[in-house]
Order: sequence, then C-alpha cells, then structure tokens
Amino acid sequence: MKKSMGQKIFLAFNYAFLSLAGLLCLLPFINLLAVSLSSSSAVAAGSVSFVPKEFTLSSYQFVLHSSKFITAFFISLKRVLLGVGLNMILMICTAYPLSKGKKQLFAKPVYTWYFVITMLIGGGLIPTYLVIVKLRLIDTIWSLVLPGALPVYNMIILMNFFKSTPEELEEAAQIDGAGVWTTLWKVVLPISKPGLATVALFCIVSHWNSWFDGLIYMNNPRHYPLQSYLQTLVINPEQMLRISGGDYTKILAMVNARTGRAAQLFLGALPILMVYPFLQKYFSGGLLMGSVKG
Amino acid sequence: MKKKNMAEKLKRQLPLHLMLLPGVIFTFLFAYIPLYGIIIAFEDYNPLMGFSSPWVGLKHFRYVFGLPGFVNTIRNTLYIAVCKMAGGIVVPVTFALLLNEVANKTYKRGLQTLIYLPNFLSWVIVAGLLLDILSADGIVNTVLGFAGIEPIFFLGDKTWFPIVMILSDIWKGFGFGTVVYLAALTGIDPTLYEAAKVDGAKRWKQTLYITLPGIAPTVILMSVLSLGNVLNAGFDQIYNLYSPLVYETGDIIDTFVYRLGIEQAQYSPAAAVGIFKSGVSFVLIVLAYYLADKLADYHIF
Amino acid sequence: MRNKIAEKMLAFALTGALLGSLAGCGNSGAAASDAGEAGTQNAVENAEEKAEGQAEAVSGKEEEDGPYGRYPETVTLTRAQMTCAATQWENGDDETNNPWTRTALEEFNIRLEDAWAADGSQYAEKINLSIASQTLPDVFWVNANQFKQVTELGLVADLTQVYEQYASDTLKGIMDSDREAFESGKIDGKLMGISTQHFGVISQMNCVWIRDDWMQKLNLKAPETLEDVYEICRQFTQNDPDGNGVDDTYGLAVDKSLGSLYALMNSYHAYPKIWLNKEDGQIEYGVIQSEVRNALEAFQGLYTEGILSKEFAVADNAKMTEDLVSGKVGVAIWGSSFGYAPGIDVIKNNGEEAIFKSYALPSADAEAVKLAIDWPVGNYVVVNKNCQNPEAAIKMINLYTRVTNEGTAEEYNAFKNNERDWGAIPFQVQNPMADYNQYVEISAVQDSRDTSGLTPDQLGKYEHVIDWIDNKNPDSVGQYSQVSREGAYGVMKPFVDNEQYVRTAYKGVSTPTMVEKMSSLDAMRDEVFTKIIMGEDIGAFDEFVESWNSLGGEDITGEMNELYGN
Repeated sequence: MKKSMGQKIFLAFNYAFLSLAGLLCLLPFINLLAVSLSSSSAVAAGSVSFVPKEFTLSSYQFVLHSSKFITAFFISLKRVLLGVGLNMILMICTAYPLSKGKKQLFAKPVYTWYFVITMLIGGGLIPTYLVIVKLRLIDTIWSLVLPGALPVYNMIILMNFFKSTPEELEEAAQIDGAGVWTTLWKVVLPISKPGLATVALFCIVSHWNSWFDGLIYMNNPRHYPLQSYLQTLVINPEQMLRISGGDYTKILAMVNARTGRAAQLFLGALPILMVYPFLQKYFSGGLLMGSVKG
Repeated sequence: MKKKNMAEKLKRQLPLHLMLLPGVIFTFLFAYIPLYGIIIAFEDYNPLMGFSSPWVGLKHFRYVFGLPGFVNTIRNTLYIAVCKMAGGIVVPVTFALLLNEVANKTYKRGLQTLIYLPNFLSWVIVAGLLLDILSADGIVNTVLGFAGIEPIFFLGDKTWFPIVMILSDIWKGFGFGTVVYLAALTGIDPTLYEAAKVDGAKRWKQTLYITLPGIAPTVILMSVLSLGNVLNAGFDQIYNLYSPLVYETGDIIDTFVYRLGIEQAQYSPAAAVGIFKSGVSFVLIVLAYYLADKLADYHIF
Repeated sequence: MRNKIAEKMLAFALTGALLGSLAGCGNSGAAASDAGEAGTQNAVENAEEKAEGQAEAVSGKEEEDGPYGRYPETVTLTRAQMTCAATQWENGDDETNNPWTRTALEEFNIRLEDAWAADGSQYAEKINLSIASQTLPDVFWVNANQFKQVTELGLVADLTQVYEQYASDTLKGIMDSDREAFESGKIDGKLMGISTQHFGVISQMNCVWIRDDWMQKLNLKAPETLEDVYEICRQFTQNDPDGNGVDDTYGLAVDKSLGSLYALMNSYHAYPKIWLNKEDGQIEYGVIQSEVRNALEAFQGLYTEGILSKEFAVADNAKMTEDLVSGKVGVAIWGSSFGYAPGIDVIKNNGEEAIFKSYALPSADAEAVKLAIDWPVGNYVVVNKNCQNPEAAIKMINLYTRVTNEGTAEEYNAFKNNERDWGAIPFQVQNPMADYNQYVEISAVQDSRDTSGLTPDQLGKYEHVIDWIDNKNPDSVGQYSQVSREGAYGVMKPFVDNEQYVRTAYKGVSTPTMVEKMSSLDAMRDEVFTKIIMGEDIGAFDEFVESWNSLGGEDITGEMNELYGN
C-alpha cells in the first residue's frame, strides 16, 4: 500500500516527536550518570552535560567505601524479599476467594468492602505509629513489612485477573477430586503468571521505593533502608562529605556534594533498572486484564 | 433441610474463608485499629491520657480552618492535583494515538519501555534528579544560559514551583497511561477501520470517528478513577522538593498535615485535617465509582 | 517520686531531724554527711536494710554523692542520641561504646542506652513521635517549641532541686554567664530544662574586615567613622589597589542574601532581622523601622558609586567569596570566622600581606553602635518525669563541661576531636564564655608564650596563632584573625563588656503565622531591598512596610506580643 506525501510527512514528524519524548525520559538519567562520573571541578564549572568530563570513578569509590550505603542496600534487599513474599501469599489468599461468585463465597460483599474501605480512610500517621509501638515492631524490619502486608489495590488487580481465568479448568480439577488449595496451586496460579508478574513487579517497586516508613519506624540511621538513607542525602547532600582524613582524602578531592549524590541516586535506581526489563514483558498484558477490563 | 444445606455449603466454603483469614487479621491490625485514632481529632490529645483526653468536639476543625495558610493549602492542593490529572490524561492519550501510528514493532516496544521507566523510580530518586538538573548550575539552567536566559531558581520560586511539580509528575507518570491507552487501542475492532477505508475515510478521520470513540470508555474510566485523588497532590514529591520559600504556592494538605503533626506536634489539629481530607476523598471516590459504573459500566467489585 | 523523697530527706538531714526510719528510702547525700550526725547515718542505713522493696532506689545513692558521685549499683539512663555523619570513632568504637559511654560507666556507674538515634534533620520529628507514643527516653533534647509543649503536658521532671544539688561549679558558672538563656529553661520559677547555652554573644558579632596590603598601598589610616569605611571602599574602587592598571576592583563585598548589609545596618541603629523590645513595652520587628530606610538610602548611594558589585543581586555566597579570594574586593562585613573562610584561601591566593584586618563597626552618627544578637539557645536538656535518677543527667552534663572546659589535652582529643563530642548528646552544654576566654587568655600570653594557664581548646588555637606569627602558615590565619591580640575578638570584646548589643525579643518559640509566612516575608524583604539598593525610589520601602504588615507581619507581631509581651 502506497503512502501519500502527507502521510509520509506526518510519519516523519511523528517519529521525530516520539523519539524526542523518549530522549526526554532518558536524558536526565544520562546527565545524572555523566555528573556522577565527572570530577567535582568539572561539575562545579557547570560544563557537564551528557558526557562525563574529567572521567573518574571517585564518586562511586566514595559511595561504596562508606559502609552506610552497602548496609542500607542490603536492608532494602531483605525488605523486598520478605515484603514481596508476604505480599504475594496474602494477595493470592485474599484475591482467590474474592474472585468467586456470591454463591460460592458466603458474605462476599462484606469481605470486599472490609478490604476496600481501608483504601479510602486511614487513621493517620500517629495512630498507626502507636500500633507499631504497641506491637513492638519499632526498629525492626517487620515494621516495614507487616503494615502493608496486604496491598489492597494490587490485590484487586489480581482478583480481577483470577476472575478472567476460564472457570472450566477449575471445575474439571474439582471433578477430579482436587480440593480448593490444590486447584489454586495446580490450576489457577500456573495460568495466572502474567497477573502474578504484574502485581509482583508492583510490590517489588513499592517496597524498594518506600522511604517514609523507614524514617519514621527505624530508631537508628544505620537501620534505614536504602531509599530512606538516600532521602536524607537528597535533603542534605553536604552531610555525606563531612568526613575527612584517612582513605578519604584522595577520593574526596574529586568528589563534591553533587557528584556524590548523583552516584548514590544512580546506584539506588540501578536495581529497578535491572529487574524492570525482565518483568516488563509480562506486564502490559497483566495490567490490562487486571485493571481495565474489570 | 434448608439448614442442613446451608451448613454443608459453609463447610464446603470453609477453605475459602480460612484463606481469607490472614488478610482479614492483618487488615484489622494495621488498618482498622489505627482508625480508633480518629477520635484524637475531637480531643485535646495529651499523650499521657492517650485516647481518653478531654473531648473538645469540633474545636480543632475550627482552629485549622482559621489557620493562616490553610485555605491557601487547599487551593494549592486542588490546583496542583487537577492540573496533574488533566495533564495525566491528555498527554498519555496523545502519546498512545501517535505511538499507534508507528508500524515498527521494535521501535514501539522500545519507546514504551523507555517512557514507562520513570514511573518505577521512587520520588526520592526523581527528587534528587530534579534537584540536580534544576539547580543554578544544573543542565537545565546551562541550556537556558545558551539561549541568554538568566538562571531560574525553579524550586525556590513561588511561580515556578507548582509548574515544576505538575510537569515532573506528568513526566514521571505518562508512560503508565500510555501503556494503558495503547492496550485499549489494540482492543478496537479492526473491521471498523476496514469499513472506513472502503468508505474512503482519511487517516485522521478514522482517528476522530473510530479511534477516539473506541478508547473513550477507557479514558472516562481512568479520569473518573483519578477523581479520588483530587486532594492527593503528591506528598512524596512535594515533601522532598519544597522549602518554606514556596509554601505560598507549593504547600499541600498532606505536607501541611505532616508539618502540623510531626514537626510541630499539634497532633489533634493534624488529625482534624486528616479527617477532613479523608472525608472529602471518601465522598469523591464513592462518587467516582458510581460514575464509573454509570458511564463506563465498570465496577471493581 | 524518688526525687521528692530525696528532697524531703535532704531537708530532714539539714535540720538534723532523726527521721530516717520514716523516710523509708534514704538519700545519704553529701549534705547528710556534712550534718555529721552519726545518728542520721545509722538511721538511714537501718532504713536501707529494712526497705527490701525499695532496694534499688536506695542503692541509687552513695555517701560521697555530689556532682561526680558514683552510684554503688549500675544505673541505666536511656537517651535520645543525635548522630552526625562526620563523627569518626577510634579503635573500633562506635556510638554505643566510646569514651563518653565508658567514662559514664566507670566514673558514675551509669550505663547509657540509646533509646534511639537520629540524624540532626530527623531529631525533632522523632522526639514528637516519641511524645505522641509515650516512648520518651530518660534524657533528651527538645527545641524551644517542644520545650513549651512537654512542660505544658507535664512530661518532664522539675530539675530545680537536682540542679542545685548536683550541678558542678563549672556548670553553674556556664549557666550564670548567660542568665537570660538559663532562665528560659524555667517555667513558673521551676527549672524544667537545662539550656544548652551557646558560644557567646561574641560569636554572633560582626566587624569590618579590610585588606591590609591595599590599605598600605593607598596610604589609608584605620577607619574611625562609618564615612572613613566608605572612603576606604571608595579608594579601593577607584584607585586600583591591586596595581594591575585595570579598573577591576570594588569596595564592599555583598551577595544576594544581603547578609553583610544587614549587619552594616547596625551602624544606622537598624536591626532588620531581630525582634525589638520597644520603650512602650511593645515588641516590633526591626525591619519596618525607619532606621532601615536611612540605611537603604545610604546603600543606594554606595551602589551608584560602584562600591558594591554591579552583579551583587545575582551573586551567591560562593561568588562573593570568590571575589574576596581572587582579590576583586577589599572590604567585608563579617563575623569573627572570616579568617578561616575565606581568609585561608585569600592568603593562599594573594600572599601573607593580603591579610584582612578587623575593625569595630563604626556608627553612622554620634550615638554608639549596638550589635544585633539573635536568640542563641537551640535546645534544652530535659529529663523524663518517670526517670528514676534525674540527677544522673546532671552528672553527665558535669562530665561534658569538665572534659570541655577543664579536661587534659589527651582527654580533649579522645572525647571531642573528629566530631566525637556528638556522642555526648543530649548532655552537651556549651560555655558562652569559651570564645571570649580564648581571646583573653591567648592574647595575654601571645608575647610571653607561657602556655601553662591555657586549657586544651585554648592551647589548640594558641598554637595556630603562634604558627601564623612565626611561620605565616596560611592554614593558621583563621585562629590568628580571631583570637590573637590583633584578632576580631579584640575588636568585639568592648561591645560585650559595655553591653553594646541588642538581643532579640524572640526566644525560640515560633508563632503559627511565623511558621507559615516568615520565610516569604523575608524573601520579599530581600527582593524589595535589592531593588532599592539598585536604584528604585526609596518610597518602595514605605510600600514594603505596608505589604509586610498586610501579608502576615501584623499578625505575627500580634502573636509575638501575646507570647513574649509583658
């Protein structure tokens, strides 16, 4: 099929515009990367754009030299593993029964409203803090993992996904004598992989990105997960440089608040950048089934 | 007979109810027990007395509404949130339409991946990024400098601050919307286009008469669902970027509550603002789901 | 509870009443021993033996009790720690095991436990959460606003008695050297919090810094009047003081924050950044006074003459500093720290002759200059009212002040260097006379070089002063410019001695409108003043006063009068 001149021009513009938009999403990160790989003097002179000037790894050396970043990184990792594991178990266990009809689940609307209402109203920060204190979770990893153990929004996405799976398979399994658990484990979950991947990605991202609860519930900066630690740096980038002497002298000559912060931000974003492409392929499909088709 | 039936039914259902139990317990512990704390908004909360502090009725509601800047805060919240919502619909729809015209699958997929990416980064990271690129010697001001424009103090300027908040939020989130609308576009019946071509309709006419109506339900749905966020102007974003210099235009309800409750330890007034916000949001969300049901025949449960 | 009993017991012991058996648990404090009555002692001891249930309470005190008394049994004291990223511990120490914690255990038998630790930026928030959840530790810091709150809520202990009994003479001296600050820790006559004090009014003062080699080159004499200072600025601007034949110098260093001009306004008896107690008893913000208008008119003239940088309105602090270092400008209005930064870089870049010398800020007229002093107290040490041993907190403060003010050089190094004194929070109390005394002591022995009477912190600075005098080491110019006989503190000392300063009426507790609007009002102030200095009609000042009032200033003033007024 031949394209008219007008269409060709439109397509050319379209490609140009879209590519520009794509660049707009990428360039800030390239700039950040360039800043993190440049010397402090080049950055201070404002001459760094998208290519590192006076290339140096000092900022990364500096960041990885301090145990704080590494410690925080592993706390975050632990949090994601524990948190997402718990999220998945609770979401599956909640979403599956709720995906059944009213006939199959007694008091279904009560259950549904019970969970949904918590998305609409909350007791606020202080009462929640009091509960965490009373349960003696303060300053433990559980204070970051348990309060959000059942993410209702994601659970609903998963529930809608379960609803869309063919009923016949389950019925067939049940006729074969499989119980509810077996059906769920052997039949429903295997065909729900895209949906599970979708909510898993959401949960990973949400746990990895949470920063506020760490600041509030942890009793020592050494117990902060990575994003909470990064938050204190974003607010006050100079403080990390108030370290002197010893091994730092040489490194510090090439680092300033901006390059150091850029390196930390980039390292903080890296895990998401790495996981994202793998889960992304499941992703559009799962999201669509879950949230839009209802 | 009927009773026995019922009992049997329940017995058969028992595993399902057991399955729900952990979720019910966790939700009760961490979402319902804290609701009890709402009463501190109606008390002069004294930590020593806890929830049995003296009852003062609506005193704190009157107090916060009389506070300097509170009305301002509501205005900022509405302005920032509504602009974000509007931009959050127009931009992704446009992108989805344009991206739909692209025939090259790899390009399409790659671009989607790219624009979806900022959505997955925390506001801490994005705030750090913005602080860097918008600083006086950051890349944005360097580029403006080439055009002969004096450096702009984006995050410390009353006029610029809300604009930066709105644009950066759209930037961070438009990839998500685009993916959703793109998926909706693929759901449009291709025979409609075939028929239109037979009728000799031009491409943009097809867009106008087939594509747009085709994704309209999704657009309406997404807009309605975002209605509940009218009072959520983005705490994570603004908290990490604002300063007292921009309170006048940048302070929103959530940051206001945070400062009142956590920085100034005015627990009761902060709880009052929280309830006010919850109340308004509740009404809006119920309205939104009602509308979603009527307009798009969508119900989440 | 315990505290009250201790009080009672003390009273009994002093009057010699033999009521030990009644007291149940005794405080055989220093006062009791002083009473010298064996009967009292025995009675107390008997009581101790009997009072099984209160064994722990009894054992908390010992015969030799006083500022440095040791507990016979270990007392645990929980605290809220403030950490600093820059703290570097030695020999594998950390924030829970270091010279401070070990000394507390060895000397007092106090085991310090961190209830929590937070960075300075999170500390106040954590305190507020602890208040709300009733999980406050035994000892913690509060800022002025929180102090008001915890005392109103009745969460903290009355320290009047334990302070009287246990505060060391050094600590009492420190408190007495700024009574106003100390008294701010009292509510209705009761001492509820120990002010952490400050580095003294002298550390807040500003003076005129003039580049000495330029003075010599142009044959200028030391300024006595404000007009003299301006004349020097004028000469520096017009007569090529660096002798490079290019008209590239100017007189007075100013950046867009206008900080140095606000300091210079004191010469015009204007105090644009503090709250003034007026004669009629009202409190008013200094920025709306007509004296500010006069000063602005004068500054407008300076700008027209080219004495200020043409670009000051866009110059940040770094740019202004760069001009000083690179030899573009020769006069600055600055605090006593000028010699450290940018002073060191100035010398490194321009040679030892380029040293800036300090001169007293002169008056614009016949009336003597008074310097503006901000509210200096940041925090109060408070003790949880449920704390079993409130006096333990006082003992820890005694330890901090002893190490800081009287310790040996080794102690000083082990406890305080490399930001290790953060480990003593919340027991840190500064000596408002420390800087003042540094000047007095160091300048006195500058010639004799007899260092026997110097304390460790003084000795540290003294060595730098000598290093500059003998070797002209640029890294030592900061101390020399500050505490030597020729230093800025010498210029400022008369201002302290003659009380030539104005203290703000604000005492750390902010009002609601202040929290909300002060920053934007300040931003508006800087904006309008910048425009006026750059040539806008001075009538803009009157409009500014009007807007200042209508945009929240009037409300803040009302709230201030309600809060602090008489």
